[in-house]
Amino acid sequence: MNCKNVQSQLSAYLDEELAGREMIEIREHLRDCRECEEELRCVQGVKRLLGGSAVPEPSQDFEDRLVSRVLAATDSAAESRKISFIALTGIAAASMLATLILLNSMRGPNPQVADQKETMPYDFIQRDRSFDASTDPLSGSPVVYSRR
Amino acid sequence: MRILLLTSLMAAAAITCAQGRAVPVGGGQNESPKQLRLTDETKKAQELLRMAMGRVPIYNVQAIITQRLDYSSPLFQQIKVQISKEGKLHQIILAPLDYQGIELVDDGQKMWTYTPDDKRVIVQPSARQDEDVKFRMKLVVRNYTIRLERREKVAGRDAAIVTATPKDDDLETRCYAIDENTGFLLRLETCKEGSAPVLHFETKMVQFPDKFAKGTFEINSAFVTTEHYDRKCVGPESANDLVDELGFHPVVPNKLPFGFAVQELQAATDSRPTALAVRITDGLAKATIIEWEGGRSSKAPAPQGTIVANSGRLTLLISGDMPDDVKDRILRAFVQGHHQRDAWKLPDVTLSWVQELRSNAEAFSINREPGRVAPTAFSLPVANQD
Repeated sequence: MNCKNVQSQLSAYLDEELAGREMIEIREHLRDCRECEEELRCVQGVKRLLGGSAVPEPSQDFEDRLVSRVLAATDSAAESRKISFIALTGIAAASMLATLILLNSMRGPNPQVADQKETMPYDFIQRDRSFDASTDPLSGSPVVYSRR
Repeated sequence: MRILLLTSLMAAAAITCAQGRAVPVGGGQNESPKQLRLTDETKKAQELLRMAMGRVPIYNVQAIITQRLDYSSPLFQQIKVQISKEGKLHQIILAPLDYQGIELVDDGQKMWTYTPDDKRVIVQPSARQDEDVKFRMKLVVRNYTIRLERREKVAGRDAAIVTATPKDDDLETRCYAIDENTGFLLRLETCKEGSAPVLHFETKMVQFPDKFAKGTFEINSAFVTTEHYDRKCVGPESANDLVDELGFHPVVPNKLPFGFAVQELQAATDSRPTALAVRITDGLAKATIIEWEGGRSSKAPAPQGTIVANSGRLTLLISGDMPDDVKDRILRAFVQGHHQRDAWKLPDVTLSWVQELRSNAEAFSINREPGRVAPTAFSLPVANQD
């Protein structure tokens, strides 16, 4: 196993998601490779930071303050809405027009990639994998579940 | 002198027993008592393999298994599997996190797949209506040499190690650890000559409970979106019957490499675009080729563990439990079949080998009546977005 392979699997290694043999191979590689060992420490550090970051607790009057601020903001927005209604309608119409022009230009002569994605029956492929997964779940064939 | 000769014979017999050598399937007629005993071992190996391949276990089974995300993936998923002796199935993924909670229930008639991220339940016809062991065992005997190698403890159970050595060198040897008392598969490894074995499947825990808790084989579909899908299943010789519904000629090559055979065609006419799943197997390894009419070049990413090829307007995708080079050769046989357009016009002659395998209807299908389109037992009312 080379450094590239090991480093790409370090996260899975730390989460113990690899097979026993691969766990052993990575452990043995780490014993002899300082670079990968340092990379492991980095990944470990990131995981620790993410896992250990505290969730801030809101103060006791947080809910009251939030509700009153939202209500105040809604009132002032309603006032300004009345004033700028005509201007906003104009802006909305202009942006709709711009979007339509943009979409039309994107529909140009060579939409091969977009079409290809649309023509691949992803949903069926995923459904079929679920279907196949339930056929013989204990036969040793990998079972791949659908996931969007 | 006589004593010396007798002692040598006994020693030779003891060494052979200790090595645990077994003769391959189909031993000769004039067998010595020792060979007869070994042939019995081979029969035992076949019987264990047959039990491990069966869809309905003798006992209720509850197990936690780990297996690769797909054949070549370095990642494993951990799944809790429950199967009743009536054939009902419940599976839930425990790990990795991004698949966790995906649940699958199959009651033998319908199959529900629940994906918690989408809050969606997909209802499809059951995939477990047929028992195809006899069909597959015929292919196993044709394509592999089965041996009972040794016995060892796996997951605390007495396991027989059964190896299936392919007659084609490009395929891998499969090494099954099977519970001798229940036929339950405990471990599957593959290996190619000169390389270390690769683990694909391992049972971490197995129990045989008398009964399951109420509701084990149900999915509560309240508060989720339910989508229903149907599919039509026919034998390979009836490929032409699907042309009108699919809108294209399905490719069913008359010859596949490595001794693979087409098992069944499953058409999804309610998918957009319409698509066909062609199930193939060599008895042990299985693959699916999905065909649909699409663009010429495939720049869209292929799903993980699959290979995609284009042939004219047709796109073909293969997934299966085999190395990529094997998948690639099978896919090329399909592309070749598409080029030789007569392949689908001569099913009666060209598929004779498959028909021979299926000559015993029981060996292939119980409910699907080979050769007939969409048997009623396999249809569900279509009502999208309940």
